[in-house]
This record gives sequence, C-alpha cells and structure tokens, in this order.
Amino acid sequence: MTRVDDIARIIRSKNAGIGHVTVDLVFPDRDAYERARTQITPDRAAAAYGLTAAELTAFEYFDAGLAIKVTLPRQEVAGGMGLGETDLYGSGQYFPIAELELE
Amino acid sequence: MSAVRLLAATGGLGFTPPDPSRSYLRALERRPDAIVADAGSADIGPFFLGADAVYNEPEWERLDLERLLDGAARLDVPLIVGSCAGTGTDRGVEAYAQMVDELARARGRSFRTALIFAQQESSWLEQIVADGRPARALTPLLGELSPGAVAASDTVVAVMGAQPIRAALGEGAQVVLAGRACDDGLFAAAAQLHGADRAAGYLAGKLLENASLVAEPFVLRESVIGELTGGSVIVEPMLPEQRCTRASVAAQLMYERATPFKQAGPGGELDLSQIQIEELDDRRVALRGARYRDLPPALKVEGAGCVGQRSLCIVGCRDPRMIAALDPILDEVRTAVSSEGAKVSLKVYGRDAVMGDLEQAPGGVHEVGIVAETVAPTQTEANRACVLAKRLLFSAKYPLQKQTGGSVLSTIDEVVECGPAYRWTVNHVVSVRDVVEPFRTEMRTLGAGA
Repeated sequence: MTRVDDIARIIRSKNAGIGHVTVDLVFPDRDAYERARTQITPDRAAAAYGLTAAELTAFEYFDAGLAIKVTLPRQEVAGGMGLGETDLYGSGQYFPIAELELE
Repeated sequence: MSAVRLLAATGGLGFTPPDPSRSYLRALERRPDAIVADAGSADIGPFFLGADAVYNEPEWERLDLERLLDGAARLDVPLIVGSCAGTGTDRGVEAYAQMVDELARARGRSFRTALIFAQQESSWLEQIVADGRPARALTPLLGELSPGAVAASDTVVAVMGAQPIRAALGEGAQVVLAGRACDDGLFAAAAQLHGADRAAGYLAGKLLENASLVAEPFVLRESVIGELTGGSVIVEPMLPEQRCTRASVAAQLMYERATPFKQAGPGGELDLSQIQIEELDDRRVALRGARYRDLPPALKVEGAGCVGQRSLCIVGCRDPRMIAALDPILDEVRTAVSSEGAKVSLKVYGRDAVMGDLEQAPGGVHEVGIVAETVAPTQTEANRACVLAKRLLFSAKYPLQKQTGGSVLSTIDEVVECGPAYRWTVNHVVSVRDVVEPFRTEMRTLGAGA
C-alpha cells in the first residue's frame, strides 16, 4: 500500500489569509506527480476532511511545479472570536491528505 | 540587458538572534543592488495588531538591523524593511527608526531614511463605508465592512504595495522603513528602481519573500539572491547546504495563498499560469513566463479589536471511562460557564484539538489533555469562569466511575491570566482612489549630524 506521504517531497498546510487553510503537495519527479494527479481528485481530497468538493475554496493541479494544491475554508477566522482557535497558523491540517492511498 | 540582483536577507527580521556568518556575509559578496528584509506577517494573529504589542525580542531586531545597515552602507545600496515590528503599525516604524538612528550614530554616519506609515484612523475606514465604496471581505466568515466592524477595531492598517516604496527610493532613500506592506512589493519596488521587468519584479518578490524557505532542506531566515534578467528570475540560496529545486521553488510559489496561479496586490495582479521552472544546476532554478496586469486601485485593510480578557487552564485525564463519556461532560461545563457571562472554549488534545470538526480519525486514546480558555469583560470574571470550568471538570461524574479523588488532574492548581483577547475585525479589500495616498511618507536623516 502506497500513501501520498510515501511519494510526496513536501506536504504542509498554512493559512491562506485569515479565512482559509491551504494544503500543498509537491512531488519530486513527473512520475510521482502523474501518479498522484490521476488519483487525487477534488472529491477525494475533500472527503479526507469530511467535506465535499463543492465546499473546497480551490483545488489546483500545478503542472509546472509538479504539485497539487487544496484550499479549505477555515471553520472560524484565524484566532476565532478571541478564543476557540485550534491552529493559529493553520500549519497542522495536512495529514489527512498525506494518508490518502494510491494505486 | 544588465541583471538586477536582489538580496533577501532574512525571511523574518528579528525572529531569532541572527548569525550573519552562515549566509548573509556570503550574499553581500555577490554585490546585490538592494537588500530586502520582511519583518511581518498576519499569521501571528489579531493580538499583536489589536494591542499594538511588541512581537519580536527588540534586541534581536536591533542585531538584524545592524547587519543589514552595515551591508547596505558597505555596498552603498538601499535597504528596504517591510511590516516593521511584525504588524507594521506606526509604533513599529518609529521603533525601527529609533534603532536605525542609534546604530548610525554609533558608527558616526547617517542614512537618508523614508518612514512609510500604514496605520489608519478609523475615520478613514468610516468614510469608505459612508461613501459606499466597494469593500470585499477576503473570507465569508467576516461580513461586509460595516460601521460596527470599524467601531470594533482598536488598530487598523492598510497594506501597501510596491508603489509608495518605489516612490521613496526614487527620492533617494537609502533606508526604507515601511509599515504594513505586501512582502512581494518590497522586492518589486527595488526591481523597478533598477528598471527591471515589472512581472519579473513581482515574481522575484514571491520567490524571495520568505528568503531561505524557497530552498531545501527547510531552513528559516537565511539569505537568498534573486537575479532578474528581462523576464527571467534565477534564485540561488546563499547557505552552502541549501539548494533550490523545482520542488522547493514550486512550494514557495504556492506558499500561504489559495492558488499558485494568481497573486493580487494593490493595483495589479501577478499571473503565474504560464510559469516555466527550469533547474539550471544543482543549486539554482530559473523561472520565466510570469505576467502582470493592472487592476483597479484597491488595498487590503487589516483591523483587530479587543473582545475581553482571557484566562486559561490545562487539565489531563487518564481514565478511559471518563474519556469515553467526555462530550456530555464538556457540554455541561460549557453551559454552566456560559451562564456566568463568560465565553468558554474547551479543546481535547489527543482527540480533535488540532483539527476540530475536520478531524476524521477514529478516537481511542488512553489519555487526553483539555485546554479550557475563557474570555470575559474583566480579568477577574475571566479567572472566575476558568476556575469554574476547572472545578466542574475536577468534579465531573461519568458512568462506571470508581475514582473519587478528582476526575481530571493538573500540574498546577492556579489558572493562567492571559490578558486581553483580540479578534480580526477587518480583512477586506477596499476600493481606493489611489494606492499611494493612504500611506504617509516622511523623509528623515537618521544618525550622526541629524
């Protein structure tokens, strides 16, 4: 069994502005990228977070960079309403995509 | 066409104590045409802007400014610092100006310095609302820009692009201390001063704004050089053990933005949909194909406001029966504390504290930590609410309970006073007549003889 985690070189998340969290997957070569690109769909990426593809802010295949980008709406703006924040930088939200299985 | 070399000295001025010997001094030997250092971010949350609080250790900022000034003086090239002191408030710009003045005096020299202020009076935003000028929220979680949102803001900054910085450089500024600024605009302004291609300038900005984050392995705050020739930008890390690769520059182009293909800024937009990335050798990458198009004048505006005082406590639980029954217990605590007039947040580490409702992993851990935060109008009320939350957790009852010593445990029994709590009130792109006019530039000669 291969997971995205096994073939991606960079897997990370970060705030994209205060209202969104974006997940970056960057692959080391074209083979790895093509393998991921053909199997990681907006539906699968969204489902890893219990969302539907329509709920994603953006989903892009970045061919020139051998990369995939998934952007999710935050549940609350960064910092919440003064409390309730879970991840101020949005830097801990990437692992569900890292765990997606690939053929 | 001669190349323009831009030095990204550090990805975060003052973030940690600098060590110039690692990469910065090597970068100076490349004789860059400008030295750029970004000092700020909105990632640090609404507190530092709202409270206009000191973010970095001032001594580390001074050490960073010292090496940057010395480098700029040695090469006789401009130094551009953006988002002074983390949030780019007027206080931050003045704090850096004072450090530059003291450092220059100690060297018996002076610097013609442009202070560019980005902080805005609430009346400025009120007028935009009153005029009905377009103001688009950058997230649907914040509503329209309203008089209420403006009134709830303690501090407001507009985010400058390259334009006011370019103007200050054109007036002969040797040092630019910019308030809140787009990171890429710092580099684009320097590129424009030397007549570089506009799209290449913004592309260089996007690549260099976080300095060594554009290279691998992961290192923060080390120097990187960008060389602009026509529409092409070549990036090269100055730390010997780092290299730029297709993956590392692609990651930087994607960093902290919703899409890799577009980056809007004041008055224009960088389009990377046709970008080409070429690994020149094992350390350098060349990029070309960026395009830049003008947009109607607009500025991003950031505002933060106080929502009360915060108190916090941390407790643990090592009883699987309590962990299994946690949700109704937490609901009871929330209800009881809320009825006392405080806001309360309970997060369960070991379960879903990091991802909240997005968490899809099954549970089943042997211990959890619970962080209880309360916010109330006064610190006394926040403390009382936090003590109440803690004692309700301590005395929580659950099915098949056998222990009677205390349902949760903690390392200390007092709660932690956190002081004022802030939230983002404004994060909008507002239509303006001119992208320079809201920023006030003051030219000062800092240092000896000033």
